[in-house]
Amino acid sequence: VAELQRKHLERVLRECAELGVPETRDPWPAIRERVSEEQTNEESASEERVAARPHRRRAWPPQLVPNTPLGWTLAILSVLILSAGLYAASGPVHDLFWRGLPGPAGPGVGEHTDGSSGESSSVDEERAVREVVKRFGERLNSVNPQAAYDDTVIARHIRVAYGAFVTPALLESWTKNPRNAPGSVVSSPWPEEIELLEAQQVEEGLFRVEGDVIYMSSAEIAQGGVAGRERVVLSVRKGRDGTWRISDYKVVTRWYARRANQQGRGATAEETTTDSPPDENTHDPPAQAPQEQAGLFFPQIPEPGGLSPSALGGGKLFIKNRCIYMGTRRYADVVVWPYGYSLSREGGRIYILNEKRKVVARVGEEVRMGGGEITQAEAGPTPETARRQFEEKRGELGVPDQCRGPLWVSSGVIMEPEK
Amino acid sequence: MEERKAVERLKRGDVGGLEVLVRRHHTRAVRAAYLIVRDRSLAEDVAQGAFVRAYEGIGRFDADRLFGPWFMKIVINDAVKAASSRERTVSLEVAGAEEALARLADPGTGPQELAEASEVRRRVWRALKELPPAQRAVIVQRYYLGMSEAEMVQSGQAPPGTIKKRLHAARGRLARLLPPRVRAESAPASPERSAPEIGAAGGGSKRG
Repeated sequence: VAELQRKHLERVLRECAELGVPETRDPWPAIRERVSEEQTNEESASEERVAARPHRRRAWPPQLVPNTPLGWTLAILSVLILSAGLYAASGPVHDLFWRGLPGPAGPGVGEHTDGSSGESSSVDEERAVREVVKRFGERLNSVNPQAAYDDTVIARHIRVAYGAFVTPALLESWTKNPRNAPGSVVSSPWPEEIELLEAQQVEEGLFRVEGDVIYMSSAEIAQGGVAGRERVVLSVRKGRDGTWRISDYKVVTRWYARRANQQGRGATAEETTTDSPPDENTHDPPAQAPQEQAGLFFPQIPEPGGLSPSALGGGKLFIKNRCIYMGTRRYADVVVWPYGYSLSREGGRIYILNEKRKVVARVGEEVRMGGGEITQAEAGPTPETARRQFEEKRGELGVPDQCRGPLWVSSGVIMEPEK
Repeated sequence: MEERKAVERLKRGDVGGLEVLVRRHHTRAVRAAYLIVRDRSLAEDVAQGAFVRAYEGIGRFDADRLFGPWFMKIVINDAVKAASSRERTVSLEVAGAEEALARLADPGTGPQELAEASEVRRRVWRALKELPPAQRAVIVQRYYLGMSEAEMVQSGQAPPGTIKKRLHAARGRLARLLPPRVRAESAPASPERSAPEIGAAGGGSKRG
């Protein structure tokens, strides 16, 4: 009887619970956000504690040292005697610790152990640094810094995704200006991971890491290969709490897979050629002849659909050496226009038209574009490789020699809504 | 095995480990909290908060033990606190909750059984409301989460004596609150006998 009643109560409670909570929404995004907020709060609190330390220090000495000249003299003398004693003891103790007791193999073993211990610590640190970058890379696809949300929403996404891996300063700079943050701008191709190329210790507690953000799309998932690569250089610092965090993130170059099509180059529609990484000695991509329109150079992405607008650029369009630049006279990019764009000159003005022949920009006016900047690598594996990679890219995109400077490979002009 | 790996990942500071645990324990946690706090949004909040607390406290968790009971202890404690503080000020009864309780029925149940089943749920739900949150919690642990008294004691939310006392009081009170027809529904015994028998049902080691 009791068993029946117990079962009955269990069943009724289960029914009550299932009716009250028939299903639950995916709880993970909310929980992840809360966890990330906790981490951020903890960091802020920790920094506040560190900032508050001097006050505590000021309050500390009077408790132990009588605040009189004699008290201070005695305290200083005690410290000096203690230091001298420790110094005297440190040599023999250190030797004993590392070399062991004197014996036939004593000194050699000591030297060897000392060296390998330092090496092992450095290897551990490098491993920790690589792990941070790897895990950060896995988060790139969870943030769209150019999504059509309010910036505060994007900032929250950035905090949730990157909060555990970057320094508070870098996190703040990205949350203040989300469009500078890395992430996934379009649904495909998306940043899949960071392929680590090199991690070098620059100084104590600071590593410089170089890697490629690997872009993938469903085509690559099915057929293999990568849709694009983005060379990035990161600084990874060791914090006071002993954790490693990314303190700087720079995109050095971008390059994307070129999809050959049947009409274009006689290849099959499925064929995908992926640009080689700069340090691989594979065949050079074929260079394009410089394209001209209306008396100006007008380099264009040779085929549709090969570029993800992974950044937002803007500036004034102006002409120099028959090339169209975007930016200012001090810093400007040569624009590589999207496939299908054209140029028209009417009544002394120069217009940029999109693939639907609609005017999207005028030379001499400010413009905003999606796309990505390709610069000669500031910190490629070697300067020579970086230079070669950049020149190859210029040739591939049909940028003539006259148009010097970094390239802005545009995915399209962003039209401001009409007021 | 997967849970153990998730705990290890979490102990190393990998939030991905928490995701595995969330997906595994979330629904049960929300439902258990709901039976105590009687408000779905509050229950979800309690469960979320419990996961955050588990994340913070994972360093203290012994990885050789099961994560579920340890985590449920956090959920139950938080739910009791939430219910106690809310019930001091506002009524937690959600409009329509009792009506919702009337909806669930086994397929093929006839109209008579359907009506009776929904009536039983309503009665139990009302009776639970009359219990203080701490007593409600022991009922939930014992009869919803299927914990034995020994496990409840092990969960460490109260000393053994207190757990026994609470469970005894809760059973007795529930038995008194439930009308004779409900108490007797599953047992052909007389209502007078069946009430103490609900109270006598504890102490086993059944796991739900």
